[in-house]
Amino acid sequence: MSLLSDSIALYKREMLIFRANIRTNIIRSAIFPLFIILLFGYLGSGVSNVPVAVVNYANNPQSIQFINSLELQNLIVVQTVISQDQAFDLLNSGQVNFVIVILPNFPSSTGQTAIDVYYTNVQYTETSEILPVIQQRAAQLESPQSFQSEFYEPTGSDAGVVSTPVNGASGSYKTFLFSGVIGMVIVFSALFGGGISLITDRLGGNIKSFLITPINKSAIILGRVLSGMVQSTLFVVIVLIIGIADGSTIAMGLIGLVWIFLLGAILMVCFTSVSAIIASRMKNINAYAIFSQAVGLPLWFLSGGIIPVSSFPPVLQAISVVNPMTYALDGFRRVILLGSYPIANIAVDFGVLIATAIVLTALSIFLFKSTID
Amino acid sequence: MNDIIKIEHLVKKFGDLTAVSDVSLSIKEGEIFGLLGPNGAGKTTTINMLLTLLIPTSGKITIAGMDLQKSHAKAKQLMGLMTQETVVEADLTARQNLQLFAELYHIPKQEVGKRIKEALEESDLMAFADKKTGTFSGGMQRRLGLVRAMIQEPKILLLDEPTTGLDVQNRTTMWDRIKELNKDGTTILLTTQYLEEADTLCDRIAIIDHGKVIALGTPSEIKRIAGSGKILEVVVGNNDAQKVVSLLKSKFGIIATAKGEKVTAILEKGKESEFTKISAAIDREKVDVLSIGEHLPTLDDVFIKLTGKGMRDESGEMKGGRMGGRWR
Repeated sequence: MSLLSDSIALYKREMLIFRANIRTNIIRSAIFPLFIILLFGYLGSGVSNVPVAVVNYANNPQSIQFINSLELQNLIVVQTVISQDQAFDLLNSGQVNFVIVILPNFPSSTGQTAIDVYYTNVQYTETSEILPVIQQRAAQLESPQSFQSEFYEPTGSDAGVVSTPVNGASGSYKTFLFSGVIGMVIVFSALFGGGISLITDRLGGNIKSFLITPINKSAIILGRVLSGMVQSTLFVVIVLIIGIADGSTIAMGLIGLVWIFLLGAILMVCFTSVSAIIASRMKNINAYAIFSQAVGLPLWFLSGGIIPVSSFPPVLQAISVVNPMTYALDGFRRVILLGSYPIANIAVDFGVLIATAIVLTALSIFLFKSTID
Repeated sequence: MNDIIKIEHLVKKFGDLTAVSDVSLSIKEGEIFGLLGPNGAGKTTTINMLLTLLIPTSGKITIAGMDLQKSHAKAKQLMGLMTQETVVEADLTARQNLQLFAELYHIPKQEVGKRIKEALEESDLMAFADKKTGTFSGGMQRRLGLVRAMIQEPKILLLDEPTTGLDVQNRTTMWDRIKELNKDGTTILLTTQYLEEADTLCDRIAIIDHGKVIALGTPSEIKRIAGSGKILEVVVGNNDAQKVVSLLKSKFGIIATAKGEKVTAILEKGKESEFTKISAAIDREKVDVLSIGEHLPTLDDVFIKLTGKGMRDESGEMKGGRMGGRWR
């Protein structure tokens, strides 16, 4: 009981300090998204030479004309294959990013589906660029309704199609970055705010003045973690404002915000604990700043914040699996880019993040207590 | 009177370094007890062990009859601490500072408001209650620190160099407050590097050096250690200090020590009357005398006699107005 009330007392202290420095906190959390979204979001966002497998079941002059039209402007490189299975093999092995199946009834004039497009969930940047092109080229030959795209999840030998239409998804690189920057701002705010204040509090004697009161020592860390959770909402709001003002959209709409805030809060807990773990062993703020960047930046990169994980070499892909940030970013992406967040993914993302948060918080409390004597 | 703090054979080692080596002390309820010693003597280590910030290597501490190791939460409730760097939360207002510590000391909700009001009145900070303490002057912060240390109405108040860095006026105010608190029944354990402060405030004093208690008693008992005579102090210019030392030795048989511009010597009982002769002799030698005087032994003199060094040597801080002798 006393642990809870002690934590709340120290949580209130953290929030008062946070509020007293609100301007610095807002500026710090706004600078990253401003720079990254506004600067990198417009750089090299063009896509070219995307490998696409085409299965031409129609095999008529119009379909051949359609395939030829795809290759205009060097946007798409077509590889014609004879069967859908062969095409999916290419998709699964990552040799192509899209499979276009031209059905025998092409060109359809009745509005029936005549072209199926399958793609994996990993190439967010290309999806948004390629889909409209395919649709537009097809529309020149038939009515637009006959085009259907489907979201395809490569699951090893199982080549089943996950029928997740992505028509609402916006997948520009800008939006891709936007979702990554939410994670980045949370992680960096946690690493910079939390850890540095823990060191200054210890050097200044504030921690000592808490330790001589009859509180539960764990409350000193728990109060920080609690306040981090609440502060994360402000950081998320700031990134959302900047991102949306810049033209990014959230495919899932308003309900998606709930997921973003929840994921953000848990991610903040993880990294507030990480900052406490690093800070518990350090006396020098400069050393801490360097060390925390050395932890934060690679983790952000490895979570697929700037470049999709699928573009990583296999070794880095494997590392990204054990990076808690990857799971938060997966959630952000599904909500923002795909507009759907299947229960299975929710279970995995939240399961991993909550477990990580619990382990890291326990570890930070243990390390903090052990440094007191 | 009961012993409110009982320290028995306390030892603290950091690796090979023994910071506190077999310290035994009893502090009586209601007294002001001074802990003196140069930096690194083991004062702060001892205080930190009292506050459970450090775990003793061996030995036992009893607070109001309770074993500190076993019932530290209860014992902490009985102790308040103010240190020289008593950190007020700079981003919080005075009221928020007190509120925070009232909550950390688990003061019942219905009482918190009353305690905060009293504390603000006592510290004369009511007008600044809702101002951030980061904007406070050093004296105001120290006053807030003192009432914050007293927010849970502890029986024992630990003051770790409470007036270091304060100006004379603020220091006197602080002394008055300490005396008042003591009069109200609070036992006070004080560490200080100002010997004058210990002399004025303390009922009893312990001098610690190299982790050991080397003297214990009332200020007047302690001062007797320096001898029953008087202390001669000559301050000279022109690097004439050695000249004075040799003069004192050759003409009067007095062993004096020179440190920079200052020459000090103990005038044993019986030689006290020679002061006028000495000053006349020094005058004749055409020594550039800045001041010459004699005074009764102060704690400083005891300190130098016991530890071979002055307190100031470690603190690196000069402080004036201590010499009680006659100045010419």
